[in-house]
Parts: sequence; C-alpha cells; structure tokens
Amino acid sequence: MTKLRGRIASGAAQAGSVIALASLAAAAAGFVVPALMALLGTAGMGPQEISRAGRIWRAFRFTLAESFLSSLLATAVGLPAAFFAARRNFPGRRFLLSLSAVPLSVPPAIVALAFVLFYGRQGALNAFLMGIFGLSEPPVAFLYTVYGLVFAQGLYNFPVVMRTVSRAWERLPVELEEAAALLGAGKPRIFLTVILPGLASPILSGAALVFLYCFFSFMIPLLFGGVGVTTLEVELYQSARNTLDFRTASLIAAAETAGALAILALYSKAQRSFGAGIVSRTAERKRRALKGPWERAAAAAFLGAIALFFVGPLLAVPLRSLATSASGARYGGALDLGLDAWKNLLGRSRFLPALGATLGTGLLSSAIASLAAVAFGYFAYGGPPKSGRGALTRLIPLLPLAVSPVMLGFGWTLLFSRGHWIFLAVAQASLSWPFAWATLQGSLERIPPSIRESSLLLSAGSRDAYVRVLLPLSSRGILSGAALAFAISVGDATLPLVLSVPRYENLAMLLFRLSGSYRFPEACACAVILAALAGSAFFLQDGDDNGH
Amino acid sequence: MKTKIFTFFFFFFMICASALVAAKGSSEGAKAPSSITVYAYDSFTADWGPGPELAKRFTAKTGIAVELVSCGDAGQVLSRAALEKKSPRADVLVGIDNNLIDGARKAGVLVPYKPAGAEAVSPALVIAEDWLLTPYDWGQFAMIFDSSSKTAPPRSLAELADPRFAGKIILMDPRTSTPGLGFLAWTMAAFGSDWPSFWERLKGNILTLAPGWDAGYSLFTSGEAPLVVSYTTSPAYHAEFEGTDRYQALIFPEGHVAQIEGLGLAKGAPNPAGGKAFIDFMLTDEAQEVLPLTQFMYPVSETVTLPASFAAAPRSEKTPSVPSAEVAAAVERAVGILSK
Repeated sequence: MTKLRGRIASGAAQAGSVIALASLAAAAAGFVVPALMALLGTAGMGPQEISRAGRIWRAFRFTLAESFLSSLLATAVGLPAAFFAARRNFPGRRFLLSLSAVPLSVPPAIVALAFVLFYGRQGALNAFLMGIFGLSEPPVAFLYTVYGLVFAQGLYNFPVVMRTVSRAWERLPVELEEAAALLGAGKPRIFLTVILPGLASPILSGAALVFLYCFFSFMIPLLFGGVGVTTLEVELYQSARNTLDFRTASLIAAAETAGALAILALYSKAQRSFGAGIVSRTAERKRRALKGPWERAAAAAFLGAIALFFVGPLLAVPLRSLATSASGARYGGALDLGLDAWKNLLGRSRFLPALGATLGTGLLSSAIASLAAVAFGYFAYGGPPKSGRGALTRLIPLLPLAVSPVMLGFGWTLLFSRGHWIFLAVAQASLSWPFAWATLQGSLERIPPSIRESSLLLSAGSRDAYVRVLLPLSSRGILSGAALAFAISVGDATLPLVLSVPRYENLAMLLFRLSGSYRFPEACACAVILAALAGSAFFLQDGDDNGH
Repeated sequence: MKTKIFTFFFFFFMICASALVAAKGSSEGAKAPSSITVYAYDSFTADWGPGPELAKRFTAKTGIAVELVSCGDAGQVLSRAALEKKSPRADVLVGIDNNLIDGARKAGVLVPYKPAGAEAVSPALVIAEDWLLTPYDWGQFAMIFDSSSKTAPPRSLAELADPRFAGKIILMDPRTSTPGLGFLAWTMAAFGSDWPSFWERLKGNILTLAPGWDAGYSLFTSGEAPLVVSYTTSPAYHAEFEGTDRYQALIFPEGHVAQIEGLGLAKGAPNPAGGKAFIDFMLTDEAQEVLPLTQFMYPVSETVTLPASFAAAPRSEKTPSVPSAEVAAAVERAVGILSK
C-alpha cells in the first residue's frame, strides 16, 4: 500500500515537473517570441530618419526621474505599512494587506478619476478645506503638476512594496535584534544596522517593480504630469499610431528596454551587496498587539493617513457607482444616489459571460504563472545553496517587465491575428509570473541553508528535495504569488484587446468600454467588482496564517 | 503538506487539460463562407455602440454574417491593418477619419471603392475624391462650457488665450487623441501660420492635456475646469440621458473644424464582395438612423430625422479644413511649444 502510494506520488511528481517546465517554457515563449517579432518584424516599415532625438532624450530623462521618485515614495509609505502588517496585530490588518489588489487590478483610468474626485480642484479635500477656512480658491493645487504625478503614482503603488516587504519582515530573525539590544543598541540603531540590511533585498525588489510599472505607464503621467509632459511610452505610441512609423517605434522600444535593464542591473547589484548573509529560522515570529502610547499613536497616525489619503479617494469609486444619470445636472459635486448603474451592469447580457471569462482566464493564467515560478525556482534554488546563479535568477524574471507593453502588443498581433483565450492566459502569465516568482523567492530565501543542505543529503535527488521539502515549506509563497497573478489577469484589458480573441469579453474589457463611452457610474460598479475579485483572492490567502 | 502540493499540481493539470480540450473544440467552428470581418474602434463595437445593431440589420438584409473586431481606438485599427498587410484578415476598416486618411493612404491598407448611394453624400463631406474612404458620420469640434461656472464664457477661439482662463481649459493630447488632434487642426484653420503664437499664449490656460477624450471629459464633468474640447453634439448626450442643459457647446466666429469618420475596403480583403455590400449598406437610411443616438454624431444622410435631443446641439455653418498631412506635421511643433 505504501509502495503504491509512493509510486503514485513519484508519478505525480514526474507529471508535475513536466507541467511546471512546460508552463515555464510557455511563459518564457509568450514573452520572448513576441518581443523578438516586434523588434524584427517591424524593422524597416517606416521612414528612416529620427527627427525627434532631442525630445526623446528629454522624455527618457523625465520618465527615469518620475519613475524613480514614485518608487521612492511608494517605498517610504510601503515600509511602515509592511512593519505594521508583519509585526503587529490590529483590526484591519488583513484589509491593509488586501489593498495589494488595487494597483494590480484597478485600471489607471479609474484610479485617476478617484484621485481627481478626492484631490482635484473641486474634489472632496478642497471642498472640505474651503468650507472650513472660508477660502474662495482651492488650496490643494498640486495635482496637475509633476508633484501630483509622483504623489499619485507613488501612493497608488505603495501596496506592492508593502506586500514584498511584509512577508520578509515576518521572518526576520529576532535573535539578531535581541543580540543588538543586549549589546546596548537603541531602537533607531537596531533598525538601521540590523533590520534595514535584512530587508534590503525585498525592499529593492518591491521598489524595482514599482519603478517598472511607472516607467511604462501612460495614462497617469499624461493626465497629471503637467502640460506638455512627454514619456517614452507616449513617444512610442505616437510613432506607431499616428505616423505608422514602426521603425522609430522599435528604436524607442529598444532604448526603453535598455534603460529599464540598466536600472534593473543597478538594483540587482545593490540587492546582492545587501541581501546575503541574514537567514532566519523557519518559525514565523508572533505578531503582538500594539502597546504603549507612542506606538498606538504612531499606528493610529499612519493607518489613519492611509485610510484618509489612499482609501479615501478609492471610496469615490463605489460612491460614483451609485450616482444616477440625473447627477449630471447637479452642482458642486452633489450626487443623486440610486442603483441604476448596478442594475444596468448586472442586467447586461454580456455581464455573466464576462465574469466567467474573467474567472476562467484568471485561474488558468494564475496556474501557468505559479507553475512557471515553481519551475524557475528549481533552477534557482534546486541545487546546493550559493551555487552562483544569483545575478541571472534576479534579472531573468524582471525581463518581461522591462519591455514596453505597447511593443509587446505589436509582437502578439504579428504572431496571432486571431487569438484564443488560452493564448491570452499564456500571454498574461508570461508577464505575471515574475510577480508569482517574487513571492515564491521570498519564501525560498527564508529557508535556512541547513535545511536545504540536509534535504539534499537525505533525498533521492535534487528534484526530490525541491518538491518534497522546499516547495512544501514555501507553499504560502506559492499561494500568495498565485493570488498576485490572478489579480493581474483580472485587471488586464490590454492583452485581450491586442490578441482580439473572437467573441471574448472579460470584465476589464467591459470596464474599459464603459469608461471609454462615458458610462462612469457603470464603469465604477465594474471596477468595484474587479477589485473585490482580486482583493478576495488576497484576503483568502492572507488569512491562512497558521499554515506552514 | 506534500499532498497539498500534489493536489495543487493535479488541480492545475486538470484545468490546463480541460482548457486545451475547450480550445480544440472551439477552433473547429470555422468561418462561414458568407461572412465579413470588420475592424473598428472599441466604442463602435460595444453593445451600446452602433456596431451590433448595424451588423444585425445588415445580416437580416443580405444574409452575410458580420464579425466585428475591436482593435482599441481608430489609430489601432489602422496600425493593426498595417501590421497584417501581408495576409489581411479584415474586409472593412471602420473609423478612419479625415485626420487619419493621409496615414491610411501611405500605409496602403485600403483600396478605393465608390459605393452605391455615393451621389447623395454632400460634397463637403467627401473625405477622398477617389473614395478611398466612404464617410458615414461627422461632427464639429467645439468647446463645451459648464454654465454653472462663475467664469463668463469665451466668445471666440482667439479669446481662449485670454489670461482670465488661466488653468480653466481641458484639452486632449494631440499625440494620443482624436479631439486633441482636432483642436490643433481647428487652431491651424482659424489662425493660419500664426497658430504657434496662439498656442504659446494658450499654454498657461491649459489645466491638463488628457490622454483621451473620456479622461478629459470626465475631468470636465467632475468640475475641474469650465471648458473642454469635444463636439457640438455633446450637449445632445446630456439632454438625452441626463435631461440637463448645463453643458453648452459654444459657437465661435472662426468656424468649427469637422471630424468626418469613414470606412473603407481593405486591400486584399478575403471577401471583397461582402465588404462592398457592407459599405453600400452604411449609406442607407436603415444604417444611418442608428448613428445619432449611438455615436452622437451627425449621419451623412440628410433624409434621416434627428432625435429631439439634437436640438441642444448647435451647428456652425462655417467649416474650414486643413489637409491632414499638415496637421500631422504640426503635432511635433505644438507639443514642443507646450513642453518648453
């Protein structure tokens, strides 16, 4: 009986590794092939001269600067958030963590609208301040400047940093901190010399993800960055769209990718110089309740600020979904409330199929992304510890994020003139598996070398050790990564349009169509559903706190 | 825990397998012999857009099935067709307007076709003498004014540069948006070679250049600024769906540049006969009457009765125009002025 079970187990492991490898191959092909197609296939399709070199260079510097500053702000907000989420128990902790769904699944157009409704000239904040102080002009007027751009992008993306850092913080070895305290180090010193170096690697990963997100974003820089602002992605879009100058477009794309890679190489270098050396025991640290007046005050101030300045604007989205069409005639931001938009949306004949498409594609894409991450993990961590694959294992997963989505879209168009939803799931996974990998890697990193070594020694082979010991120890990382990949798929309206799968519509596309045709209350209702879907994936897996 | 991981693998294997089976099943449904493929922008194919209703009526009339493919915006319709030039999939491209026609001609993705009923189209609306594109609807660009604002409305296009409108105008980026490009064309038509100096004076009055019409217009209706560029027909939308006349289209003495949307036969179309039949159909009143309340644009047919809400839409008799190649060339300069 045990023999049979053993056989089934090894057969399943065999099948599992084949599927995992196939997923990794599919995810890699899903990115590499279209990227090459885009660069090669479009070459020589347009005029040869580059007349805009000067402006493109300025666009490059601007994109670099705003993305860097945004990732800095996201880190500054994400770090304390990660501390509270990892080390303290308080009501709303899981809700705080599930905010990660927002930057991944709520489209920028809706986030921009939310920020306008809150921080805009007629927004809630200005209306409040003008009412209190009897002002005639709105006092908060930074939204449509470069500060507004960095503020919006940085704040919007802080949950990405919070998520990558909080998991690592949970497992930072307490012994080192205790030893430092014993040797007389004060709290600030412990933070700077013990905690921060220990967290440097996840902080840099999170910041790099935010940087890349901002580097290739389009909507928010144009809307908030100030009049006449230009980013590389806008220049690229203009070349491809208005002038059908695919040659210039591919040159810009190449420059963009080179720039992004250079920055990533710097991050990777910084990560290597910080990251090594600190490994914890596997046991997770207990979170304790907030204690002492100072800690309580700090928590209340920080979490209150998050609630007000991040959640506050987002509340505008569900509120807008309750606005009836008569609100158009109302003055001063007043709304006529009603369920019209919800009734319209839920009553659409396309709604249920779109919900099904969203769930089906999301599950498949998240499965492929997770399996790809698992397979990649074997290359990175399957052998003996420290076998010198560091730089590659850090850089390869970030490659898909270093290519312009607009350009990748052209590659996909050249490859498939008629997509299928399965290709769509593969294409999404090819872009989302780095996120799944980031969380799995976080879990794998925290397995002490002693366990890795003894598992290698005691198992039949390195694959056996990986599947039977390392993966089970990292199960939470896998699940967390699957939730991330699911959220990314759920929020994606770009790839489905690019691949133009016949008769396919998911909720993100429906949302894009609703907001594009000036049906904002309905678009907001749709955004609420998307955020709830993605958010509940996080909520569910964050809840599994004792399973390791 | 081990079993958990195996369950995980097993579960995902099953999903992948069933997905593959589903893929195989659905790819067997081959294209019917008598069908056409139409590439269009997204708001045309959306279920509240004109596409589905037009397709239904066309199929009922001719028996030819229509597959509507959304490519994003009109620019993406064109770039997709350009990318597929070697093996075209589309029979008809919808949504190429008078500002994109130059690009479409250079890209060589269309062939001229003069449809039945072409004679009834007003000469002012004919985008291409050789009928590379057939116009199906049109509108005039205009500034929309929020009458609840304390600011008095401008009386001319030139007055938009007046310092009293500092930070009070929402425009769209001419690089990424049709109304954005339309506004540039409008200033070129109104001020001739002086347009750059107008833009220099206008710069301080622009609150933001939105990436697209929808983002810019939603900022406007959220009260961020009292003026936005849109179409003279926009108030008809508010009248029809919101029952308000709060937002008004301003008619300026300089005249109003028009956007004329067209459709054309794809070069190398798999089903050219079907494509031609669809273009013919778009000029019939049966098709034209669908457009006003789905597109909020004027139909090209003069015999279609307009809905009552269109009474809220003023119309300028003066419709100057600028060649699309000149406008495209001016985009660089306009953006250059703004980013200085």
